[in-house]
Amino acid sequence: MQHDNFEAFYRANVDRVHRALAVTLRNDDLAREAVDEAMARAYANWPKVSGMESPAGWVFRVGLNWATSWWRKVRRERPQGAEDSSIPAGDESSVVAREALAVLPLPQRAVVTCRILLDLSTAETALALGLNEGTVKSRLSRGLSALRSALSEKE
Amino acid sequence: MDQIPNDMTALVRDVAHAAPGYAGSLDEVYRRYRRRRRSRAAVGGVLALLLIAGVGLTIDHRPQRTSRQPATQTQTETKPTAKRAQGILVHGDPRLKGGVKITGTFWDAWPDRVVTSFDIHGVTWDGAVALPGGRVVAVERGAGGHTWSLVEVDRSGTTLLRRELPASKGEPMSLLTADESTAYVWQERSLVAHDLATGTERPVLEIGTAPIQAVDYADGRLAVAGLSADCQLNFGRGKPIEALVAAMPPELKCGSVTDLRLSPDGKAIAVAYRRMDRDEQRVALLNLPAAQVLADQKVTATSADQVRLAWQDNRTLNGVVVPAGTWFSVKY
Repeated sequence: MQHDNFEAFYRANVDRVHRALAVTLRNDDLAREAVDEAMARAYANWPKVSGMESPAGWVFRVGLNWATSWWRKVRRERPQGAEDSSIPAGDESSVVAREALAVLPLPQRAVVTCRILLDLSTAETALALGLNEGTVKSRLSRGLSALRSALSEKE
Repeated sequence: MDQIPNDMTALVRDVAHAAPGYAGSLDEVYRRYRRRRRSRAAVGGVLALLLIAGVGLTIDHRPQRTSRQPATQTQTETKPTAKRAQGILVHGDPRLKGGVKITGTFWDAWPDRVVTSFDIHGVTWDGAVALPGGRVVAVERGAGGHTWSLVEVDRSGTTLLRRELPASKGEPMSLLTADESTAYVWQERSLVAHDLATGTERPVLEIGTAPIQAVDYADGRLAVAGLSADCQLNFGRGKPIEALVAAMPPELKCGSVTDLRLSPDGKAIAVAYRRMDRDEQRVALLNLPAAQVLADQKVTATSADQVRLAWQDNRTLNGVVVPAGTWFSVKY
């Protein structure tokens, strides 16, 4: 059947892709809409998507593209700080970590979350985000370096 | 870099676990799928083929329809379309939180760079455009997120117009651009021209289902950039609009287009873009319709900054980096 195994894929991956998008976008509501939209597109193209090396990476990228396309237009008109209004405060260490992650530019956060939260390899991340492997490596390196630097400043 | 230190992995995972879990449902996914399928059927196979071919634009000159609600205050004076320098509206006061009050800083007087400030109150603005003379047109989202209103204010902050836009089945609406007499509102997958004075609306074009990154529309000329990896630009001009497509010249190594602006005479386009091979923002001026490079300049901006563009005259482009507030110029 055309949509065989889609439901199983959805149930196995939707939460982690959602969390990866929430961390990348710093907006939980937008992340939920983005993952819903991307999952709907995955369902529409399931015969093709299911054959990919990383369907979850594909969903992440589609969700990220959808969110940043829509978000950029809206974001232009919003004051700084509106991004993370929907994320709960959490304990002190998680607040410090979240603020440190917020320092990273979105392209670096996307690479970091793909590598860590979606468990994608460098090659899979490059494929999922439409980058070459060198760019993935440099963004990861710079992102982690900036993250460590931001953490040490806060300590 | 292939190996990620354990402490960094743990930190990122902790942040992810602290975020609220997914609260959606499979039913919502299926509902979106069905809606997409219906929309695609409505748009039609011809448009889809045009889009795949890179054209993707169609102009609709059907009779006008009127907004369901009249304006509480109507702008009765119709000003002639002045060929003044374009304006830039800049938001980004870091002291403001929560999206309740938005302060717009409008750069109006070219080339003196006189900055005029005014305050605008709104819940959430889905697009705002500054007009010559200090007026601002915006689309404001209602508190429930299901209604949208067109708002026009002057430089003193006085509301000149507030008119609820026709509902669009809960789909987001966004103001893409505006001129002295018309606001161009994105509704679902079509661009609608909304007459500021009368509230009448006219469908202008439909663009399949491709997400739009940047758009400019003025005096019957249209430029659209999608999210395609080759930074494809779609242009249209004339009546009826003749659609054509061009890719950013490959030597620019464009990774994504972030903003664009047509020159007042329509003979050139300014494109703000990010390089595909490094974190760098640049601005290119291209002639039309050939899309040859007239000028290309690096912008001092981080990857998180936004670059906004406006032409001072037909050969001089000015831009601002937000939120840094630094200005730059490019000439050809």
